[in-house]
Amino acid sequence: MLGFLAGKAYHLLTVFGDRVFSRGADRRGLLIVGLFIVAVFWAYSALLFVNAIYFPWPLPRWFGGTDWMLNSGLPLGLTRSTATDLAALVIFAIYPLWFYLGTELGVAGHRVTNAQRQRERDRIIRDLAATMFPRGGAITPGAGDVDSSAVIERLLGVIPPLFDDALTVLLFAFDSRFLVLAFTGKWKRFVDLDADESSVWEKGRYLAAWQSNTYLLSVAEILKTTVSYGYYTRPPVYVAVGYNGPMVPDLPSWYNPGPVPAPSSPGEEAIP
Amino acid sequence: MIVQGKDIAQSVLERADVCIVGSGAAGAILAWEMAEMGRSVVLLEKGGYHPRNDFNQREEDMIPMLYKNSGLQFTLPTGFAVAQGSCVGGSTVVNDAVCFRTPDAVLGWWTDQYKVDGVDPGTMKRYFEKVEPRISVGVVQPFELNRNNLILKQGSEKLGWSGAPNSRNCKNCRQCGLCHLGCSYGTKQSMLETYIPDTQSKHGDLVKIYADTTATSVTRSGSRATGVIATVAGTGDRTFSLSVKAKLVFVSAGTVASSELLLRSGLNINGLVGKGVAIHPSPGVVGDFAETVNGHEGIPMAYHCDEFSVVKTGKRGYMIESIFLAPYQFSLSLPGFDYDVKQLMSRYNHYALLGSLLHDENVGTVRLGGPLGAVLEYGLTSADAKLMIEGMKNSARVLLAAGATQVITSHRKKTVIYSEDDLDLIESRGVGPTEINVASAHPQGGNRMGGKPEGAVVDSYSKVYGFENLFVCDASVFPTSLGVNPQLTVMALATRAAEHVGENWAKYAGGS
Repeated sequence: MLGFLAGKAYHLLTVFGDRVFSRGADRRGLLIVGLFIVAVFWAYSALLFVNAIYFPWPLPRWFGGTDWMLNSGLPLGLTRSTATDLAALVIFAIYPLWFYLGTELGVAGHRVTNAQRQRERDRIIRDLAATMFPRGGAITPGAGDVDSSAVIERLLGVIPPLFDDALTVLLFAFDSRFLVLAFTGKWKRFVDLDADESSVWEKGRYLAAWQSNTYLLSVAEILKTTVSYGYYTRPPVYVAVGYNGPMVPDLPSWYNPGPVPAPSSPGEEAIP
Repeated sequence: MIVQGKDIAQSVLERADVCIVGSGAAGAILAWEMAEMGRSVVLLEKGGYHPRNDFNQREEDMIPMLYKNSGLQFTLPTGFAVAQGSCVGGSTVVNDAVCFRTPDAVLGWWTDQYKVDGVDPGTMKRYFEKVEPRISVGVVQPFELNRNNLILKQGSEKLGWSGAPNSRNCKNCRQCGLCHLGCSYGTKQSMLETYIPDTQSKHGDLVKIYADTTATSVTRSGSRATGVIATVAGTGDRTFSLSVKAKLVFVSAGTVASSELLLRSGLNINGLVGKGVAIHPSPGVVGDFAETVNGHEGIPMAYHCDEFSVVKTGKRGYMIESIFLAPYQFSLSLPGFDYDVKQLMSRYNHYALLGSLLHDENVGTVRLGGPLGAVLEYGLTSADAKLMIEGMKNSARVLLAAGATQVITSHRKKTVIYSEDDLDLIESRGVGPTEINVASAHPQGGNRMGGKPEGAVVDSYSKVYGFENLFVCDASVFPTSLGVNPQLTVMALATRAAEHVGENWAKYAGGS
């Protein structure tokens, strides 16, 4: 399981790294990072197994590393023996396999074409916008009515490429089953919450959970700022909230020039 | 001459007396002053060149065009939004034209605590008086106060608190309310309408401005800066290198970018570059009125209440300022990451908006890293948190005194104040990173000015300690935050630095 999670994390790194490394860096760098991750897992597990360190959380300090490795906090009562040492060696030996499987699973997603990935990102953006700005209510148009996702996509096309990459990774992380599970208890992607397509109730709960989490706060704010851009800049929404700008090339209807001043210097025109 | 990225199809080598990075409140003035002294200048600007005819008053187009990172810049881990301009003219193109001279108390701190020479109020007055006429600074007239501003005025007066119309750098303002999207009428006297065109018309032969050009490093030889390496977003989506050889280098790219450039160039000699950043965090407080306010019709920031600010008290506090924004930017001041923000926005035309500009401590740090190349780490100290709560409470008091039926704070969890009795809710909700939504437009500090090398990055005249001819001149050199809108201070310090360099040209540039 740990190898699987590490593999998924590595996949995120791969997606991001692929964009970075495709700009000229060495792909071997990613391989080195992967090997480093496995080495860290080996070292940490081995130190736990020989009881050189303890498992720091959530167990108390007196809960030794060997106990944790053999019993994993369950009342199994196993103690170290030749058999468990051999079993441990086998398990350690297949860490790279689990890592490889996790990575492959991630990379399988990574192998989708750019167009497919783009479609998935569009879907996440569209559902996020629809959750924040559903049709009806005090401001009638919904995000779908004003084509918010297209506006957001245009925005992502003009921001710095690295920021676009980071936002893409954030959107996929936001959509991830792992985070949805952590916040809602459901093993689903964000876009698959709410079986009834007309409802955004579960998705709304997920959003509220994000905004209340200290560590995800900055990310939530970035997503809000990005998605609101696709909604509150739309003319039908302007009309709905009673905003009457922009007005160029004309002067604002409320323009008040005040008392007409005398020209302050020769040749300067007075205000019309 | 202004060279845009689309004009570049090959790598470029330039030689000039002076290379300036950044074309905002400091960079544009430095270019003018240097040219007035007969020095040739190459000025590099990361953003694009957009004359006023490009400004169509639409958030959708203007925010990506004029704001750094398309407006997406946040502090970590607090998530405070930090707005900065990124275009020829810098933040002066997108600010609300508010002009305050540096408060005397602040100048006193700089003199006494940081041993900065020549920043006493009497000396600085000379530079303010030089800059102000050039950008047409004048006090807002009574007929120019819209309902949103009058609400602040009336509320403050009812409470017996001191306040006044703002001074602004605007000439014959059309009151469109969209200063922050670029002034379509050209009445806001930003750098784009003043120093830059003046430099072009009078010294076009001496000053060359490169837009769409990102400085990547300052080159050096020993203790001398020798120039700047940059990349230009050139024609056909290609980038080209631009190398500038110069006798003297000014870095004037703003708190984040100036610090980033110094760090990236390995010029953090005393380990202080990027340290001591303040941002003037300004939580908004929204008043809901029964009558229509139409806060977007008219000058957004035309009045302030200085009862609790350094201007009146001589100590750190907060300035309550009226402000208003077009729907998108306004929506970010309302709570919620879900459906609720839409419900709240339906009252847009009935809202008044006040911000309490916090005179914060310099505790932030710019460091290299993250997808954008640099991150701004920032959090509130406990003293700042206390002041922020007080500022929000008193902003709410003003709105209630002016007749608001309810006041909505910028807490992430919707917090509504109906009367004086509810004000403690602001305190109980707190101002921690998960509790509040805060915006800022005044990053400052990071390359502190000081009379002695210990504790400072630049000396009293903006020269980087340890270097003979490298200067940093922008808001990043403020030893402390100001407590008032900073553009006029930046302009005055730039004028002062230019004068000093002119008087000591041979010493710094190593020639006649």
